[in-house]
Amino acid sequence: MITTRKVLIMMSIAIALILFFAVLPTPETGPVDTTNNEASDFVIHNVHVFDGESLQRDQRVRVADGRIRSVNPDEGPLPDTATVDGEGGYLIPGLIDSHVHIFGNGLSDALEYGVTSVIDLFSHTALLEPAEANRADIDYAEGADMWSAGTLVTAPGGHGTQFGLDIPTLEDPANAEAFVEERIREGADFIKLIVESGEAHGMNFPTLSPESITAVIDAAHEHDRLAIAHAGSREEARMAVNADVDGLAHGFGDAPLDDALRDSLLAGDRFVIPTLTVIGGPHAEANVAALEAAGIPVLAGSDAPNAGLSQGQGLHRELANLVAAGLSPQQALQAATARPAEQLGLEERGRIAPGYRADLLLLEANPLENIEHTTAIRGIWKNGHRVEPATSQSEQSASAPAPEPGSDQLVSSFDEGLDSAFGAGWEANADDMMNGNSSASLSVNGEGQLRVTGHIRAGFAWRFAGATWWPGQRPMAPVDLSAYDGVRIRIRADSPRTLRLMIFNPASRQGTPPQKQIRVDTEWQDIHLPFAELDGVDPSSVSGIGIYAGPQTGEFTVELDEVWLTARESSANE
Amino acid sequence: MTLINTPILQALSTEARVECARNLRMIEAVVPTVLFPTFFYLCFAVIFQFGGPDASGSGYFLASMGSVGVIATGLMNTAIGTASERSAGWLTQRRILALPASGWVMAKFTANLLFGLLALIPLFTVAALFGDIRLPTADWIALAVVLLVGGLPFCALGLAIGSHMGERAAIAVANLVFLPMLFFSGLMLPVSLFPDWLAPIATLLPAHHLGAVAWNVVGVEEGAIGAHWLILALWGLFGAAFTLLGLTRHSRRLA
Repeated sequence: MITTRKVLIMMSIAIALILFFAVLPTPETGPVDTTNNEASDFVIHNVHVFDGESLQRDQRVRVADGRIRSVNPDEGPLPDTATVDGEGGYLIPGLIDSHVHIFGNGLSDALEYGVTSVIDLFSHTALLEPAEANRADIDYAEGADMWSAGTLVTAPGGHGTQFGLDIPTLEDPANAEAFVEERIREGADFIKLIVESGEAHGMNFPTLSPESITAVIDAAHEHDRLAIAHAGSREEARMAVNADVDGLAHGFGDAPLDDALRDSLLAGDRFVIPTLTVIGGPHAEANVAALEAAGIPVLAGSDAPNAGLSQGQGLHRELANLVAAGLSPQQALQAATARPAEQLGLEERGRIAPGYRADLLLLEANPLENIEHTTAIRGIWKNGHRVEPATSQSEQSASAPAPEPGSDQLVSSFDEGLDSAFGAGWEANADDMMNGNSSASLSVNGEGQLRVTGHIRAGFAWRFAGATWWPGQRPMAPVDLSAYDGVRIRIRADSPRTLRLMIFNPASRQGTPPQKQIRVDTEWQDIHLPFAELDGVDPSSVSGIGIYAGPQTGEFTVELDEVWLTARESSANE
Repeated sequence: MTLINTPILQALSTEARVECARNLRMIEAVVPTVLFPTFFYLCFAVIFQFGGPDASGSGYFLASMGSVGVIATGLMNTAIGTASERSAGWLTQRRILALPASGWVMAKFTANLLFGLLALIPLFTVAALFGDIRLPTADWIALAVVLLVGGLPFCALGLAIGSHMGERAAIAVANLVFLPMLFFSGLMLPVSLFPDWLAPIATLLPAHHLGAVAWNVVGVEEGAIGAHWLILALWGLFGAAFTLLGLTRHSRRLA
């Protein structure tokens, strides 16, 4: 029989269960950091504000519901809402990187360095839909907002086809309109086209015909999209400009800017993203100064992760490059805030002004005095949510442990797994992370050796697979290894083969990381590789050291017994 | 109330209630089984912090030990309980009563759900208090439901063991199945840390698939879970078939 008493007992048990699950702790809503989560309505006072154009001293900024409500002189009693004391720091708009390629954790990495918006100029189209939803979401604080060109427009076999993404290409200008429409249907916010034959670098690969270039740009304009051209040289830039392109995704370093090109850039209100991080040299730097002087909008873009730059850190590097090329720190900051927002149509971004998104950076010192102060980040807000800055915030490389005079530093003996004496340890890497088909895996055997097995498969232009050591606290964080003069590894392979030792070097101006081929045998051997033998390595800023197989396809096994950093000769002699 | 008061449902609920009460009275057997996953969780995730503070806070051990909990009650308790019932002649006696056979299975399942829940409550409490686990309320509930439902195939496997052997043998065999399965399925140590040759073994074990659906709830793993559920269901059917075989053999012997 069901008695009232039984029903009561059952109900009590049910209620107790409901209560139990109700009191189990839930994540704090909002940003990554749960301890100093700001209220959605708060005031930052006692700060100097760089509003995207110029500096206003002693301001008070009110944030409510993810947007900036008011910016006023810092006077009178503080309101009842939560307050943040800026302690005389400098509040700048969240930075905008106008040239990146996003994959993996790129967006959250960028945000941790204060880059709250990025312009992705070619990545996998699967990223476009979430990106559009996230930037519309006033509560989004997990990563930077992204606008993207999606798939770039290039000729069959042209630049852009080598990265392993299986992308459509354009051959016949008659198809340009349909091609552009397809990009827009995929969610592209811009149309990026390739105008590069490789000539400036002594290479030769297919590129879009002049007719195609014009047709693509016309189609983009017809659909209210900006057309942004990757041009490899001054003449190719001129070709794009004559076809009415809206902006250049890179500067050019092969020749100086001439008056004709300057005038047509100026006349069409076209912008240039110099990306000195990847295209440096005297011409490139002088061109940046000339563009800025002529009043042509220069936008800061890093092209990360190219040149071994991580998302976020790359933009700080480019800001320093722009200043080194002749921009004032104020102009450089404009190039990463109000200017790109205006040029690229990023609504509610790039300024500290009422109605704009509360994407903010609180800096310790005045960035207009020294642009490197953009890395001294005290606070980051995305849509009014506080975001914890990256731990190794300063771009200054962390220092590796100082070696005993004259003694080498053991990095890993692999007796206890993939750990290293310092840094984030070893990781398997292959081109599959860039949508190639190669793969690699690491294991440590009972004898304390690192076993790297992998399979190099076609599908990516620069096929590779192998093991990477991250000397920094986290992958890609640079470390100062200048106390050492090279690497020594004890290594053998399943059959005699040529491997590549690669050093990831954010400071390097080269397009690809410095590398050297090493010949490995089936017997154990010690290979010593002085940094000096790798072209262009700057040991004071090393973010990774890797050993990779490829590009020959096939399976491989390589074993590492010990990896050392070798002490400088000079200290050995002391 | 009319539905609940139908004789058949009353019989089922009475049998389930009696089964639960009977188990609850064996307090010396219940307490260790119920607390053992919590104890493991405390050791692995809180005290020794296997895999570092990140791994212990990540929910991996919570989902794993939750799986261990329902497997312990499902496999061990059911196997031993069934074997002892059979040895005591209760199953034979039961056959002359006007009770549906499904009642016996339902009772086992109900008791199993109850003890699974009893194991999860202290585990969740400890994970919340000391393991720093934070999940949306819906995920806490989903984890409990997934574990309890996912534990039923192990109950079926326990029935299979219990219906084939005597009490002492059942204890030995259940242990022999239980302990190695915990290690080789990736519940004690993530499969990613297994040597290469060992990793495929994990997918052969039902415990791995229960772990997989639970890891999915806490976000340690991502991806489709349909296949894991299917494999769990197949293991459940396998257990049911063997139970049936064991029981018919048992009754034939009596006949």
